[in-house]
Amino acid sequence: MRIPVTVYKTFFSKPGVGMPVNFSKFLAKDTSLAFQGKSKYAVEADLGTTALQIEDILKQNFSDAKKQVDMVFADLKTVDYIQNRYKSAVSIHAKILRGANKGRIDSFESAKNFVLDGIGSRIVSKSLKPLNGKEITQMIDDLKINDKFLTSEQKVLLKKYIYGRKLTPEQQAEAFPLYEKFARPLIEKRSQPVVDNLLLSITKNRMLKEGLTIEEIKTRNLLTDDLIKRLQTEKIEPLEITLVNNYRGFNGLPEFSNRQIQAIRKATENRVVVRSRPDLADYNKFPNQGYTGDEIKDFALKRSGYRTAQANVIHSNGMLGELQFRGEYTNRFAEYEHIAYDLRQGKNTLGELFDDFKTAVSKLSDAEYDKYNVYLEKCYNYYNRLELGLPAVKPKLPKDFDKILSDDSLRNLHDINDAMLRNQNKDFKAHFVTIA
Amino acid sequence: MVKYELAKIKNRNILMVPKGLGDMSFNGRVDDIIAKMKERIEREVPDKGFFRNFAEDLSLDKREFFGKAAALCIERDENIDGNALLLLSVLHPSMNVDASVMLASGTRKTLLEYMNKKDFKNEVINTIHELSESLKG
Repeated sequence: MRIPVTVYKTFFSKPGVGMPVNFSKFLAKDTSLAFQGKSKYAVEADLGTTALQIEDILKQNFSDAKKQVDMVFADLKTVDYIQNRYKSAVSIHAKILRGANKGRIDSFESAKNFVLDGIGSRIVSKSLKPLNGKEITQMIDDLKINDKFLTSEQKVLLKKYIYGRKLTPEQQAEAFPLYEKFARPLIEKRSQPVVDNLLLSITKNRMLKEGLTIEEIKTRNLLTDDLIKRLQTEKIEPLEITLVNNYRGFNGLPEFSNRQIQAIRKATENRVVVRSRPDLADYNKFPNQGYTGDEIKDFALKRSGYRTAQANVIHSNGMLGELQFRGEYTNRFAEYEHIAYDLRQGKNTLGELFDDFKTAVSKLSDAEYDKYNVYLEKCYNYYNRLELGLPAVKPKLPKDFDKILSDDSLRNLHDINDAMLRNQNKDFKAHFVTIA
Repeated sequence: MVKYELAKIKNRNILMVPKGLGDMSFNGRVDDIIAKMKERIEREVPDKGFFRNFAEDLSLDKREFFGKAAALCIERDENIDGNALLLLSVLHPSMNVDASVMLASGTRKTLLEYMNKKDFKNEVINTIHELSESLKG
């Protein structure tokens, strides 16, 4: 009797970027997964096969999902452009490998569902027209907090904050909540059309799937009258959302205001989970838990001040996807600001071009890295100010840091690297290599 | 006599918690925050106009839950005057993120009616479990 031999190969999706694959399972279209008693390599190769199979499903369903996102958001005047992509097999492999290590994956279905961002869409909003001094002063004069106009001292403090004047840490802490309230109309002006269309899609989906009626929407105050009218007269593409994450840094503004998040909560009722930073709420959400803002800051996962509103969605064709909402400058900065973080985490997929940058990052002590993250957060806030039409001063890299770590240098490296990769990938075809 | 752990709470933004509260069972503590929230909604949510958001929380046993704490929160509805959102939130063990859902929204009367439903406590307990699990991802 012949014992079947398992054939393993390496799959290359880009030059130098590969993953192990159980080729026998791939040919047999076998989607089963069993890890017990297998070597580390065999498990990784089985997951490599699963990654290719998931990528194939994503490829087949990508076009419909993309079309759906475009139909919801592309015609909005506030939207600059939309980027859509499906996750590559190599990225899927890295992700499900992490899931398997956490014990979260034991079948093809669980692996597929673990890749929540299999289809990703980035909805990038246009920036607002820059505000002049008179308009800013008028906005400050009109600002009411808790139904009260600002005192003259608060107005002076807020103005200083807006114009980036030097403030003590205490003054900054006092000014930031005022700045948040001041900027809310600008945040909403930029993102309201996108949020409105999202609300309509969510509600349309509920009408189709749950039989929710217009009468119920009205009596339960799920949407405003204007949106109900649109729901009745326009063709709306349904989208289901399951999770919203409104990322922002400690001193950063969110992409969606709390009022907009509340509107999303109401449109979905109890069907959506919202993740947020409890320390940035305007009340103490967990009054009996002993933490301070500073402790939270130390724990923060996105310490660079990453700011994006993200929603996990289920497309009409059943595909899981992720929508990211952000502005044009933030989008550009977010493409490369994470490189230092990735290097600190031990991820090293960068070419020789980044050698000096890698050395500079590896030399940073933990305290210096914290300081570097403060700089990155300032960059995020600077770009966000530009997007909102507010006065903005480009932050300077702290004097004692290697210049290669600066925003300009990192962007430059990223752009050169991108061009090089595009060139390398031009004639490259994904392929398998047999293992000797 | 009520004892306070002053050394621990110095410079921290927490309320003084009498020792012994932690001894109450999970069920008892859920009953406790529901009762406290009902009282506060009755007292603090007006028919119209501004009011401050508030929350009541309980610590979660790490042998049973991934999340560190759960809270019932009341947020003023920023879209409709006189309305509020009742949220349930679970804090990640690292405390840098929480996951929350809206349980109900409406006027003070609507919220209290919702909380007086027979199965409200079960909804709270089940949702704490679900949110706690969701934070693992």
